[in-house]
Amino acid sequence: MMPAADTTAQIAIEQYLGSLRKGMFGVAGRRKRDVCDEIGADLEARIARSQGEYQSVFSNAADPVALGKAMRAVHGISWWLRLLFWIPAPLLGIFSFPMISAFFPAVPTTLFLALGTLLTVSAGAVGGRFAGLVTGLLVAVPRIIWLLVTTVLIEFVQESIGYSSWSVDGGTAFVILLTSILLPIIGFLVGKRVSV
Amino acid sequence: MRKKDPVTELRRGALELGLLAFISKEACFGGGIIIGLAEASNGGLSLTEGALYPALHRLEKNKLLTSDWRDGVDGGRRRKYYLITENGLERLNVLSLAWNELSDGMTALLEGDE
Repeated sequence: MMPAADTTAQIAIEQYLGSLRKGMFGVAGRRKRDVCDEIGADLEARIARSQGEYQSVFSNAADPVALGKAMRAVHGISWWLRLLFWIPAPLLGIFSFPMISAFFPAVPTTLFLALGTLLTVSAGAVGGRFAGLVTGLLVAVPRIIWLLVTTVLIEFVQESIGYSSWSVDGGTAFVILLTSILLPIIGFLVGKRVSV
Repeated sequence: MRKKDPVTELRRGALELGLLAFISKEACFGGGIIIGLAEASNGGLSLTEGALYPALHRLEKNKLLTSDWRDGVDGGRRRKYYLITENGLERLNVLSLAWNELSDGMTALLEGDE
């Protein structure tokens, strides 16, 4: 343990590292431990050099939460957290397709689109540009596939039997395409680089 | 949006070169780099942890630096020491040349204004 520091200084270091861990939310556990070990040791050395005046060391130290976020921007989030964002994304994309309501009126497609947007924004905010972009794409691509399949199927039915009670109007298709294109852009832009 | 301080931005640009130059002389840990860099640059490169650690980790991620853990002094916590790699030395040479050219050019330009 730190030779020149008392228990109070150790508690202050642990509090600082606790806030640093909060800032690094989502970073892989081993990486988080390494960063905390490194910064904890450096704080300890500076306190020892200041002859126990630990308050002055902490008053000059960087905001631990902001520092944690900057470290997360360097190392990114863990693969487990990425999968937590990426696994539900295609499902939200599928169920946010507006024409599902024509077959299953109980499905709240707008709610699913809102949840898909929320997931994309969260992925960008927590995981950075790459995570935001991929999550947005994973919500958007099933919507575009749905649109293409639906359009082709309706045309096929119309050509085969000469009649179909369903149709995809240009306005709806445009809105689906626009929202789908916007999702990955939003994810990318939310995940801007963190600077301290 | 927060307005960026131009002096901070100028220093940020020189940070990579400063860190590589300092660590090329001797392996050092974060706290030692903050003090050593400020002393060696006559206070011109006074860093905070907020700028130092992300920069060190980015350089390590880009394989310009490597690191090892060494036991702390008097039973203190173990410390992470940074060392420069071959790639880091190459980058240091490139940046040093560019810096000298830029510095000479800027000095000539600014002195020409007086």
